[in-house]
Amino acid sequence: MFYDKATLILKRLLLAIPTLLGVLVISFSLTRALPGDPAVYFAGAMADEASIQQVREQLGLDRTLVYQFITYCQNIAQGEFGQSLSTGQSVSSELGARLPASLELTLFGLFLALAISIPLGILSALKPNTWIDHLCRILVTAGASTPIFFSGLFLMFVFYYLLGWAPSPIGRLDFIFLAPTHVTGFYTIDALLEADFETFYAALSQLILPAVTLALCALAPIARMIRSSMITALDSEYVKAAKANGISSYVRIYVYALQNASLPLLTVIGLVFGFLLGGNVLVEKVYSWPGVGTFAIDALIASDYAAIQGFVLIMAVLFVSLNLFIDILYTLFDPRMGRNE
Amino acid sequence: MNNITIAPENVLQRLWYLARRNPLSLISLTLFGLYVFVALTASYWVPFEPLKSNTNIVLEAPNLVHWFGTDHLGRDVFSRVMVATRLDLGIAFSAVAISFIIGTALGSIAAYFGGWYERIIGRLGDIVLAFPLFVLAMGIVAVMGNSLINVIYATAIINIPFYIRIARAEVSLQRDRQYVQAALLSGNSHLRTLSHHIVPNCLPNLVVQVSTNMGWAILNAAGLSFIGLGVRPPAAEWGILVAEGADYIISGQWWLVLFPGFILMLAVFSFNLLGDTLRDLVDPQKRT
Repeated sequence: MFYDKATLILKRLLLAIPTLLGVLVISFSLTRALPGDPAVYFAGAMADEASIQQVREQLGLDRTLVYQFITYCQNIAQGEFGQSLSTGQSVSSELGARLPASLELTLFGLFLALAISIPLGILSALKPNTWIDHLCRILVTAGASTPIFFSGLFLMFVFYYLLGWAPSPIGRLDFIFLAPTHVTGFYTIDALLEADFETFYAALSQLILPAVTLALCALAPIARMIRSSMITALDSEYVKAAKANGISSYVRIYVYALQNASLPLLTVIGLVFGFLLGGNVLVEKVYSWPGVGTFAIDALIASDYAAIQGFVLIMAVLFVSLNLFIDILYTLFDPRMGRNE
Repeated sequence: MNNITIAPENVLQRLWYLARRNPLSLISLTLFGLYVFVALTASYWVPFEPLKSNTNIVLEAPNLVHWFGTDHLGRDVFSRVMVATRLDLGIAFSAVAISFIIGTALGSIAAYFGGWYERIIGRLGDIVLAFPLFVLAMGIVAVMGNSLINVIYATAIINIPFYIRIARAEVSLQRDRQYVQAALLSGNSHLRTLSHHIVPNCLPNLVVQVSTNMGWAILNAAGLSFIGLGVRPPAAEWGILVAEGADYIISGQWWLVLFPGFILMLAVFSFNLLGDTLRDLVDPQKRT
């Protein structure tokens, strides 16, 4: 049994290799698809002939495509993503400095989405086809249909301009606060580690509106999945048996059924994470959040190709590794996996 | 033959039947008709020139003359939002058409011929899906060049895997049916059998996907133009209209964001609902 699971996980890890390779190929070909000479693009508009030549040699552009690809992979493996033209720093350090901000936002958004949609899904499943169910469905569909930049601006208008509850949307922390010492890079967690509750509160109040915006667009898939898997679970033999044995409805719903309904949840989290990474870019733009998304938008406007390429690659690698992690969790938690092998 | 097809003369009757039974279907059909009408005709009946600025009426709140207010250059927001419908639906429609054609072709070839075709096409689809799709679209537009046509291509590319998946599943269900044998035996080539006999039988489910995808493509294109890719000002497009209004929302000029944003949201909402309606039409048993 243990060995079966280990084999399954090993197989899954091996399967990730061709996917990662494909991601690298696409990210590589993104810049080779540039019309004209990529060296000119990478060196930037202000470059002279010498620096273009230097970039050409660095990227191996005078060699075969296969050689260029291998060089590219070698550079990536060493954490070398090239120079960002707009900031003059290396792309990896730029992305590294901004990634915690984006991750804090994405993960908190995901957490909020789960906290809202799981109860909604359970509620719908307990009373299917009633007005509660319909209301939940309309709510989540509206969330999924709302462009994320629109809901962001709308929330900002209501909670900042009209009600004055939210702080001004100027990034992660108001000017009057100092950023906490860098431990995880997540301001809220770092502030808590220092037991600095004022900073924690300030960071959290900046975080909450963008995170809610992100969460809104992720409600629908999670709530739908929970609803359908809860309906199946509640209708199953083991829940009926539990009922016949006199086990309370609370335990039946929240222990027996929910436990079994939560496996498909893992799959849908993987899917939703992809939306969130994309939506992140728009939310960061709306709330001037200093994350990788804002960096990428600036790079787009400045035609900073190395930065864009690095951004796309980092996002894809994050997404692939999260899905890999989820598949491994799935294998570990699902007692049926590995039994038929 | 137990293949259930809906006779053409019955489609309207069935739609009407669904519309009467489910109010949401009626709403979605009405909204869809309205959007198509506006997209086709808006430029003929909007009250003001959408690009004409007038410095005397800058940032006016909604009133009887300017229903949706005016923007920072004194342009009429109502006219701009209405005229934008054609561009937004046009982008989404072209993108979805491209991904429908390419995705269906690839997916059905994969399922029909199997073997290496299936492996390679399946892998390609998986690799595209390994990216957060909006991020991939950003990357594609960034390197192919910041233009409208590239936004359409990028939106098409990120949607192709979904069509591959559906076409593949549908064709592999149809592949071993007797009518396929009959078509082959009466001398049709494999490609002709696939394109003239099998694919038409897979269309209903693909059409459902088209509708849901339209909403998604609109969101995607509007998101791209919101961050400054594709459509450029002063052209009227929902994403740009919201982006232009974004600077004014913290000073309280809400109408610049609210109206284009709401019209955009309603479009996506109606396409999503339409997808559900079409699903009921195509497959009454598999109601969600």
